[in-house]
Amino acid sequence: MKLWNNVKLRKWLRFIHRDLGYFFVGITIIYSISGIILNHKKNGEDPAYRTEYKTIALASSLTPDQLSIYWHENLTDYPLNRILPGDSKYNVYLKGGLGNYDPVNGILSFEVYEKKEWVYFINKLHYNSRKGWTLMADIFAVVMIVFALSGMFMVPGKKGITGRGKWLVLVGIIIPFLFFL
Amino acid sequence: MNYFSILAICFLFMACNMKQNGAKKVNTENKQEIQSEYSVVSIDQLMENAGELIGKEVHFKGLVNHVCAHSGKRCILKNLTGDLSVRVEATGDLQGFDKEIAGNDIEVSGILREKRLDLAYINEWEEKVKAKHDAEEGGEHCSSEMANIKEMRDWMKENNKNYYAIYYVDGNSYEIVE
Repeated sequence: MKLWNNVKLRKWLRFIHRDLGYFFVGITIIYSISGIILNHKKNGEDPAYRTEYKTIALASSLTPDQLSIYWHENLTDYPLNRILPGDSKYNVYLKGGLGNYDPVNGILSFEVYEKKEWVYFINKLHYNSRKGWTLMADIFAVVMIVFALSGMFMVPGKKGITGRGKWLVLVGIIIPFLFFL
Repeated sequence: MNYFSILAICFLFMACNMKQNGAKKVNTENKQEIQSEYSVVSIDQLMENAGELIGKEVHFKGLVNHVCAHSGKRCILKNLTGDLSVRVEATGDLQGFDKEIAGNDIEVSGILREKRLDLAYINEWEEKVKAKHDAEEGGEHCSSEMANIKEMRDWMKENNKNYYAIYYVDGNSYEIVE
């Protein structure tokens, strides 16, 4: 008797496919959403952070102390850490951001980073950057193979692997290779 | 053995793994507490004695000037005058640097490493920069590269070395200093 005609085996494959499917719903969704986010990241930047850009025209030739006073009076939403004068500009260090002030033209520009907690969490898992996640990620990878194999053989007849199933499997295998032609 | 017994064994196995990870996390936290008992030096102090500290554990603080946007695996710290900087690589238990630490003062623990640029490498680099400058592609960028090369040569002369040493740290933990 052929493998895909074994009723008892197909019954087991359905059980395994169903229950592992339930158990891994959460992780599958996490990997899928994170995969889409990482596929579409812009300029190679970490999509787990929102960057706010600010440019303000101030008086020129301010001293670091004058800039600091202006900051504490007018930019209270952006906590300032330090101002370090550089070669031609002042480097501005915020609590969670960086910027500079050009004393020649008075332009202050800075950017502040804010973490998107959920994106950060799911991307860390996807990147395997959380300690101890490796085993879980390996189990999930093996389970994906189990899903693929059990899915192929659990349906009998014309809609199964001996019918149209084999053609769909073939097309699915060919498509990735087409991208390397 | 029936189907449900197999499922129960699988769940038990996963639960054991999670518990083990929890224990490891506690160890890491303890390690970080212990590290905070060491004396923490500035980047200036670290660089003064860098030659003797290669391969040793160091604890220092600096101002985060850059966090790698692509991987988050490295960051650049500056001293309080902005003229010295140290690259820190995330290694060991340290999985990476959060981008939002940019602009903050942080304390880092890790192993000090040295990368040597030999004279042949610096000469070759200088020739390339000069060629670029002659082809009028350089401008401000070329001038700053030439200034870097001059700084390296000055350092080599001053320290009587035939290489330029770049010091960096394989970081294993960090913490924001308020």
